Amino acid sequence: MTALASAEELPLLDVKNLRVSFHTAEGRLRAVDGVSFSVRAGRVLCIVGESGSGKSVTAQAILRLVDAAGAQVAGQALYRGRDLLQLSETEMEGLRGDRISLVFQNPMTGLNPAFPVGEQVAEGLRLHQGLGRRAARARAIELLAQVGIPHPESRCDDYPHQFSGGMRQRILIAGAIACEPDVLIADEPTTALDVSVQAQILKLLKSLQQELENALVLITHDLGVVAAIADDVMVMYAGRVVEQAPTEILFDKPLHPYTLGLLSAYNDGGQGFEPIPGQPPVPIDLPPGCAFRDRCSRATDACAAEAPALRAVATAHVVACHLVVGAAQ
Amino acid sequence: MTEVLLEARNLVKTFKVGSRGLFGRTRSLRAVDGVSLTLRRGETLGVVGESGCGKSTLGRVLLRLIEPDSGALRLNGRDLLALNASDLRDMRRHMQMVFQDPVGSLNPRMTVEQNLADTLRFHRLASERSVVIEALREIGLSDAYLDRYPHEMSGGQAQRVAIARALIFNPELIVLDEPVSALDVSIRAQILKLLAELRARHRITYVFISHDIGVVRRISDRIAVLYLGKIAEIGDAAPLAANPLHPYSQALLRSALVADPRRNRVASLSVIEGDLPSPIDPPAGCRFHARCVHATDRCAREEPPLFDVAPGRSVACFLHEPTDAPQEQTRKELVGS
Amino acid sequence: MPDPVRHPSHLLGYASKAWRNLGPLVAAAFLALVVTLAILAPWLPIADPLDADPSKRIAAIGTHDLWLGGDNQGRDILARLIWGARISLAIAVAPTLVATLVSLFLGIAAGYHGRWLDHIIMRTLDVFFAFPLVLLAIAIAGILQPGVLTEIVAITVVLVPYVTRVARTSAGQVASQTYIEAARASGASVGALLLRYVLPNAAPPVLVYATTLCGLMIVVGSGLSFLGLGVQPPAADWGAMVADGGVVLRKAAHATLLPGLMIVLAALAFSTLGEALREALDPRSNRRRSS
Repeated sequence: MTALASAEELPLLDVKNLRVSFHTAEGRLRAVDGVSFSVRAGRVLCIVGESGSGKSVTAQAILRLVDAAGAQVAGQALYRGRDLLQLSETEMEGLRGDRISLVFQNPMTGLNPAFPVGEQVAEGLRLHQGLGRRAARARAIELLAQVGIPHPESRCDDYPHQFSGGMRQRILIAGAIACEPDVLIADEPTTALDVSVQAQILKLLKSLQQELENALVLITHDLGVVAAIADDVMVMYAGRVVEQAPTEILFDKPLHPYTLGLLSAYNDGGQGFEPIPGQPPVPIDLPPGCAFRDRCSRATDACAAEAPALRAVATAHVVACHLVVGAAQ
Repeated sequence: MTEVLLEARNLVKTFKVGSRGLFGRTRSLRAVDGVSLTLRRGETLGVVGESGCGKSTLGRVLLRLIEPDSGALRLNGRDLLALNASDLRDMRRHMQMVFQDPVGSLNPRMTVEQNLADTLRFHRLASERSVVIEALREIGLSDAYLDRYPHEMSGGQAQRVAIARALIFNPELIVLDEPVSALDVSIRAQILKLLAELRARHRITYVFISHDIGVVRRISDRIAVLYLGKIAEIGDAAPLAANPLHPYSQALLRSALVADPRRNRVASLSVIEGDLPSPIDPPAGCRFHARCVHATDRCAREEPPLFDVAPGRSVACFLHEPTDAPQEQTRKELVGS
Repeated sequence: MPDPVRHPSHLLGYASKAWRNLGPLVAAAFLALVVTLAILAPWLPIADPLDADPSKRIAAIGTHDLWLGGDNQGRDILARLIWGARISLAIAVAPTLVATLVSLFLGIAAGYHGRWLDHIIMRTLDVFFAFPLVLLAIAIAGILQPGVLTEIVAITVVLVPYVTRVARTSAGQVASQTYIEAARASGASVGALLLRYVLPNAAPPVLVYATTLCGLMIVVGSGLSFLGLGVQPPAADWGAMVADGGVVLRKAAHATLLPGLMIVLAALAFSTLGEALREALDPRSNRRRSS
């Protein structure tokens, strides 16, 4: 908390103009189309989006986990100044799980059913810190306790199927923080869980962050999760960023029509509430212009002609919408 | 005074759960453990609870898609449990279901038109294209969808088709089992709005099952909170959501996330301690006592019945036991009015 | 979201795509040709397959007006191949067809109903599973009089357990699908459910399996004939021809190799068609996109 004060100013993760596209039978799928964001230690960034928004692919691309042949990844993903996208696979393997960790979406399938959980939690420790078996097991028990697994000494040797969904999610988190990474990316960590467990997991993630002072990137479609835990929010649609702001500002003064639509869809719609019509597009061969215009009640000709760029509306609040920037002028 | 559409008394459904090894004993899972309900025509009852609470099973038992082990079930005065297979099938014209997996609930080898037309054919009803087109129009899909296969549609479109199928007989009751949980947030809103419109237009009674208290709150007239196969609390939606009485309902509502950072920051989230116990070996006494901050010795010994605490509100908790106890306790079978 | 394509390299991608499109055509054309010739055999201007001319024994290809040479008894190999196709294909297709029909019935009953019916059916079939395929066929053929009909019966009986197992697994999977429950909830009768919902969805893997089995059964049937349990000499049948040619393998290899080649090609053709059938029957295949 002391000497790190100046280091906290630099973002731990700085993504610039990330682009990921895939080759599919129907054409080129631009899953991520120019995404930029940065996260500093001790801050939580939530990436919000629905199907086809590209939020999960963003995380996978940063960790160089995109493996489909024909996939193209471009842009920069700077971790402490080093571009992850330029590193060799060996160098990436050294970073994954050690300095940057990803908690996968589905606790049911994220753990290997054939191995005891203690071993899976300790895997990173043995790999990256070279701990011996006994030391790793002891540390794994500590980690299980830290994430709230009761009786960790005995449960360390149990198999994943002997735990509930919430417990498994905690175990996944334990494995991810084992080496105390600087950056933790969690992809929909609460989606498959019961409501009462969701709150537990969010609290756990936040308290772990306070202990480890890492940067937390949380990917979700649930605005309630965002409201609960995010410091900054980035809204994605069809592979592009449509709005980015600190949490309170986003919920207080949402500007992009999509954000507005999402918020009113999430909250009590009430009488006269008009949901966003249509559905999120699959980003293949999207025509020029704003990706949201087909569903936007305020779309104009300008929206069809040119894709809006992200422009600052206030400090730390950027929006990609022709209408918004025009008004701010 | 609106009439009663469905009456359920003391429904019980247990499943046998496999034994461990050769000599393990088979254990029973009491999915629905003595649930009584009364549904009035035109109302929407929201059934909310977490995994393992039995809400999906309850929904199916209400339609007799799953045979209850015991209890009584009457629709429009007719005893559903006494019907033979053929009469039960005929009865299905009055009670329908919408499922959680929209694409999966349609026959993958049939087009939309065939799926709908075939449903009509089950009851020897007219199944011409015009009927199907009309059904699609009502849920907002054009003729272009007639020739689509389920996998060629998005979740939202498929769910509309499933709703069209459920509506096609003009049923009086539709049970919806997590109908929007698998859908994107923006699509969810569309479907909920559609359901509300259809309800108004056709005066259908809904049983809306979901784990998402936010959604249930919006669409329901009354809410029933289920915990391990029993009703913990039941009452009119707005008062219940604003002021839940059962400790579990309180915890559930409080841990539901809201899209408002001022009301809902992680530091202030309340958490129910412990994990959901397995419905296979429920604890003795009140099902919730192990996780309840207000639990007393009595709660560990006795199971509280549903007490009527106010007109339209019942709670299964000793905290709310009316003080003139003896008469009230005998009313434990009757619910909701 | 559509799945990204996973090709190890562009070149292999093109090659596999080409084969996927052309292979079935080639296979189908081949089988069509063989079947046509087989059916038209009595009217074709070919020699009598039973006509044994000692002067043409083990005649090389092209000699004595014999396009494919003569076998060890001087009979026209080409004619015998064509006439033999009638029997060899019949032995492959007829048992598979009958076995598939029976197995679909049994498998769907076992897989959809489950519980005691499943146990009765599958445990009974387990008894048959205990015996190796070919041995069982030999045993049955050994009990009955050797002949084409015997071969067909033997192979049918032997196939039923295998195909039923596939049918039962498939039906079991279908039975647990939401759309089956949805159809029940809509008031479908058991008959309608089984016929229009279970069968069309459970059948495809079974049909694909059966088509591939045809290919295998050509080999099995030929094997039985090779052992003398099928057609009796001098009737022509590819397996018997392989046996006959084995006697003169050193001097006239073509007498064995040609019928052997036919067996292999026919088996491959069936397999390829089975693969194509699997893709064609998959409602999720990309080619089915309308609008």
